[in-house]
Amino acid sequence: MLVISGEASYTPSMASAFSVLHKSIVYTVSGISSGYCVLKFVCALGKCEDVSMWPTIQHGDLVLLSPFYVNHRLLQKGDVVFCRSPKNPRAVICKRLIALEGETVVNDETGFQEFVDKGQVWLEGDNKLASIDSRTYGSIPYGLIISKVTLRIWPLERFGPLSCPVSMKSLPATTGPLSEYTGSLPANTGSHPANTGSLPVNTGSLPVNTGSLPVNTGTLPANIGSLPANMGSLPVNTGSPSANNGQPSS
Amino acid sequence: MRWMRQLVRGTLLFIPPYMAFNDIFFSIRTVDGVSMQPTLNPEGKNTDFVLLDRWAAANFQFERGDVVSLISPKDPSQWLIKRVIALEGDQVKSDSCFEEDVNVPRGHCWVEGDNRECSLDSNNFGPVSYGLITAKASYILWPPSRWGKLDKLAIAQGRVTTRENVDRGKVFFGWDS
Repeated sequence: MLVISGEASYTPSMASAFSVLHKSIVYTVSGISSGYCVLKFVCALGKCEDVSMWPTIQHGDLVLLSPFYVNHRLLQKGDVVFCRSPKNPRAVICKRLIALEGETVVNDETGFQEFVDKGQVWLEGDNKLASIDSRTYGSIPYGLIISKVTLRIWPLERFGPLSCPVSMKSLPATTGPLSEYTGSLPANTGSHPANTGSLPVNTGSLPVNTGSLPVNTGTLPANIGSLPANMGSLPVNTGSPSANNGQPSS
Repeated sequence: MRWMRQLVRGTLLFIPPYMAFNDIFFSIRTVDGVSMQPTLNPEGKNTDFVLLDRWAAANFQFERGDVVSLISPKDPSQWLIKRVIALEGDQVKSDSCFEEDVNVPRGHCWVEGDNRECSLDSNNFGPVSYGLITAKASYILWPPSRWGKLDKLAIAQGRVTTRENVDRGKVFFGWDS
């Protein structure tokens, strides 16, 4: 009895101290690891020390990364991505995604048309002269992409989403290994908006033309119908040449 | 109601550390398929659980003969489990229909399944980049009869010409433009 009562007077302080310690440890560990998870899977900050994406991303720019887009396969053509270098696994490169799997691209350096294989992507830098990219080492596996670059944060005058060039957005989907369009891509895409602007005018005038067509065809049967009547009357007229000659002249 | 609230809170507190631990240190996965057959899944059923050492792979601590897991170069949502045959700079005899010598380029390695008859490996898709390797498989956990370390397997003589003087594993901080 004595022992039990002694314990009862002693334990509450111990228990509370232990529970406070336990709680603080649990919350600290959980907080740190949830921070890690957010940085790893949702969004993170990155600094780009690279000239291959000039002028979109310049040396020393601070950018917002979103690995979320890569894990859930939401990447589109024209997105800027951070990617592990295929030649050096410890290095990270920053490039623009030019083509996804199943598409064909023209390699500017070799001049060949290349098919992007399944599970692979084609990356190129905006600064074509300085960047070493898929034009050199071919298409690279999707698994090497770390995250998408969504926002340019640091130089505040250039703050904003990384715009995708217009020529990339209107790229025709060149699916299939053999496509004839890839050779003359920039020229086609440049003239595209002008053509679409003039199209509605032409289509507006079309119903008018089609409306007048039934009227013309309607008069044709009448003409054809009157022909046999004239033919039928001809033999009668030839029977009396004097009367026949007199009728047309009058 | 109180125990339920505590259960929810406990789960919410537990999930982030679990995910972070899985991502940084160790994770446990089942093995699908028969491509590693004498070593894993010997009965042809998907029974095996392996312990994946992610820390070792993040620091590129794997040698020839180690079992590693990697993201498939053909399908990024799929993880493969294969054995490393050759590292960067080595020359390996390809097992495909041509039987030719392949020089494994810089930053790449050559992986193959133990079951050579039905395995989708480097003989199909060529050498894979180090960046695709997600973990080193270090232990077999589940069938208790085969519980133990996954040990290195010596590679057949004459298949791989190793080059040790490559500056392999050199720490590089910076950017490849």
